[in-house]
Amino acid sequence: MEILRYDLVIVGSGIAGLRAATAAAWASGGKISIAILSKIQAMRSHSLSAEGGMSAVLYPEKTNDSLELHAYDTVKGSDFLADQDAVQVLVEYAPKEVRFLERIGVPWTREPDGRIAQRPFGGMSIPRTTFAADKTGFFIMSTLFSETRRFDDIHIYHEHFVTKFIVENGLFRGVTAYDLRKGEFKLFYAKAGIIATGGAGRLYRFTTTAHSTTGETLGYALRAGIAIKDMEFVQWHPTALVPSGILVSEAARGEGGYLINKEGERFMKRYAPQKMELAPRDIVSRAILTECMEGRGFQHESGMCYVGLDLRHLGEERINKRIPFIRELAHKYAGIDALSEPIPVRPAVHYTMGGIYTDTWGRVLTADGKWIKGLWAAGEAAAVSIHGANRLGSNSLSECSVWGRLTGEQAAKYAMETPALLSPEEKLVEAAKKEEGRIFDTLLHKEVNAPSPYEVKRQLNDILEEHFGPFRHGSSMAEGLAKLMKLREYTSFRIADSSRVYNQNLKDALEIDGMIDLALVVGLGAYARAESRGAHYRLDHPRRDDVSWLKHTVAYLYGGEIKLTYTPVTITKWKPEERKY
Amino acid sequence: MRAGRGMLELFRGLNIERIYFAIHRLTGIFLVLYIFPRPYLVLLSGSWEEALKLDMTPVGKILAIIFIFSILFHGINGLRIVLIELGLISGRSLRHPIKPIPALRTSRFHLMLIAATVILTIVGIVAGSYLVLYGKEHLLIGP
Amino acid sequence: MKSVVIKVKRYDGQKTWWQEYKAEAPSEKISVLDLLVKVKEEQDPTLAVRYSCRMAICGSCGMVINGVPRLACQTLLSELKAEFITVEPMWNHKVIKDLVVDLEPDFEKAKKVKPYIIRDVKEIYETDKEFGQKPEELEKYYNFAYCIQCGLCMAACPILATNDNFLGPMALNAAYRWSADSRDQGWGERAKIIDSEDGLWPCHLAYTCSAVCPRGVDPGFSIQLLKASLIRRARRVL
Repeated sequence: MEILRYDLVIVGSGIAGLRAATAAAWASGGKISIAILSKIQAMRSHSLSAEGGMSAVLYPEKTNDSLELHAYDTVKGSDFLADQDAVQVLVEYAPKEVRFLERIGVPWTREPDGRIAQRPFGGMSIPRTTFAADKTGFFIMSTLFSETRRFDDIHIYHEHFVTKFIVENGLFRGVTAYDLRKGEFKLFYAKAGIIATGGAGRLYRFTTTAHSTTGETLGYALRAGIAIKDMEFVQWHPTALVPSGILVSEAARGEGGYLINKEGERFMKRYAPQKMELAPRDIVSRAILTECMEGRGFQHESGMCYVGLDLRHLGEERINKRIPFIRELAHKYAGIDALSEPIPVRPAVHYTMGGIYTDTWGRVLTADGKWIKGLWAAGEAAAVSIHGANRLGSNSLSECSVWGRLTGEQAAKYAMETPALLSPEEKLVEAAKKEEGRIFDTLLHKEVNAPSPYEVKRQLNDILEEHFGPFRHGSSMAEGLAKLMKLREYTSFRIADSSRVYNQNLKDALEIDGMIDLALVVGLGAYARAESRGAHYRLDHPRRDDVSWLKHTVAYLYGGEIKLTYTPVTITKWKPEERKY
Repeated sequence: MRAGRGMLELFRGLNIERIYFAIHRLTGIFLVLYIFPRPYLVLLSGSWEEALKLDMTPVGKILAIIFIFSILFHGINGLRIVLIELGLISGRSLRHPIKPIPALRTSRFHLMLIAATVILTIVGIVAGSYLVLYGKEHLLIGP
Repeated sequence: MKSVVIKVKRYDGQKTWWQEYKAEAPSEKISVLDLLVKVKEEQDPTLAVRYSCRMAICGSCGMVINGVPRLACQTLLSELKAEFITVEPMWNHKVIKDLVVDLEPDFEKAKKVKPYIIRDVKEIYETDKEFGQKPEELEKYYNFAYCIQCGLCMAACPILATNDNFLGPMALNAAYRWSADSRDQGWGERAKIIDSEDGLWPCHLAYTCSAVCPRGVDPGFSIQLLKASLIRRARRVL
């Protein structure tokens, strides 16, 4: 087992992780050593597929915009579950981040006079979404990755799968990882750590996320004593291609696309008469599914029901200039020419509002609010809670960049202030060796009676799709929870591949092991919350209950069981009101 | 273990530029093998005329035809490459829709030169082969 | 439902062999990647394939399908006209296992050309200003910024088949993209790096790199523009 010593270890290499690395490298002036660990090659993170844009108030005088308005839109969009002090931080730092990204080379689309262009987006009252054609996430991610190549003290470890967080007495000590390429086990002994591993879209089957967005790191965090917050809020993005689930960006609706049902009517006027297609995502998703359930949707050959996204009236030039990727995707994966037919779309899981319980500045907390010294979390993996119960489009790229920078700078400062690491103690090395034994010796032998990990994953997807979908009901969720508990009883899997080098079978099994824990957190939180708020909609409690449920769900592991507790929402300016669009 | 077949991977021919590249290499090798021994041939045979007698044999005539093709193609393509590398004949590439063959995405001038290489080479081969096979007397352009 | 036969070139660290799998494809519109994942999950979990986004934006699934380097998630069954589907790992790279190749040398070459804005670094990190860029300046390098670093161009380049030290289209395209950005001031430095016998000049216009690029980046063209800039001793890249 190899032992590597670093000042800062960043787990996950999406926009949040890479931004943290560059911020830490600059803030420390080259004095600390930074390692970025990614379970796939570092530049292939799922941040690449973000299409729409990054929201920020850039030119307040020219567009009649203000930081107040952005904050209010975000809080209202979150169905008043967002922590308002954190939202203030977001809107204040986001314009600085857009300008920083512009300075390191992101090709933002420009207006003819050289200003950065902004477009309207769902839930935003004034156009404030900056974009780079419709591949914003790709350009930000690839530019940030190239930027990390400037600093020699950032070491990137591709294809290192983190298996365990080592936390002792409320202090972060390091992580253990399985090196896929060489088939070795490594211990990363570090002063500080940042968790930026992204969301958990692959808990469901019909999702816009990549195969790698599994969220098992959140399950491992639970086992290390870290608390998970608000995991029951899962966002369905209204427009995903049928049948592959590939995302059709909200930008299509932002540029003026219409949603039409079988009879050709723009049905959104019945659900959100003022904003129409640009209402927040939970409202539009539920609208589409209601149309389908009431029989006004089209039927696909695979059995899925869908509605049409109509771009024909936008004209070829506008489509080619502003949303060319959508045209390409529709042509390739659905065989549709966007200029002459509507694109078949249906809601798919896109984002998880919940994540690791952190405070306003990204510090990771246990269930009783104590900071685990040296550990931060940023991006989709963290729930600072600025998105509350529903995220507005284009706020996520802002969040990743802002908290990437904040946690990177804090971690660098912390690493410079703590004394240098000597070799790790016996206890730590023993724990790491035990972990290696668990992975290589226990899990890696052919258990004939155990199920294949892919079988378990299929069952997990089925349970979540059926019992914890966009429309939930108490009795159905109870049934789902019982099934999940049965699934949790599997402690080992049948792994057919016995080699050590690049054993994807083992990696998949480890992923599914963590995903089952996370699915239980989703299920328990959803079952307990007896109201409908944002993306969590219950048919047996269809109203929002601010009296008893204006609080965050915090889940933690105690005595081998998942327990729930609650913390209040920080309200500074806007009291909850009715959410109508 | 290294994937691929290294030097033997001659024709992953996917577009016209690649084919020209392969022919440019092969004609280059042929030209070296044909031209470099010629001074030695002359010295060995005793005089220039003696060496030319070798060229009039059937084998010599076939080699001469291949030589004409090689030198024409290699020369014209070489000039075309020089112009490209100087940046004089390439236009901006189109972005949408993405055409599969890169040569088709550049300027019309570039396309014309690609075609010109082929045409000039073919004309040259025909004229050269005619000369080689039938001699000077049969040409319409009289002595 | 269509029955498809897929032949994969396998490697387990010691020996290589061709293995045939038979799979049921629910329609013609699924991609080769979907088929490979299906084979992996249902028939043979020892098959190693890299994949992530399944929408041709991450660049993980590069491999040679029916003799042409392609992205597996972008190749639909309806596009392949053969009876068999033959899949092998990308050429010119060292194979780690089955279809997974070692791309570290490519990343190192991309790092060598300094792929970031070269300018006073304090100006980038400590000020809060906008450098600004006009739409025409954006158009100049925009197409070349689409590179997803999949490595297919490096697999298709015939020069790399015999000369491992050549920088290759992926790195040279990056050199152009960063030098042509109006916000960058580093052409002088990069010109020195690529103006060497293993830098830019081994390129002999085979253009297979542009032919296989899944995002239409045209790295061959950017290399010719770099050559033109070097020959004409231009102060800014052409």
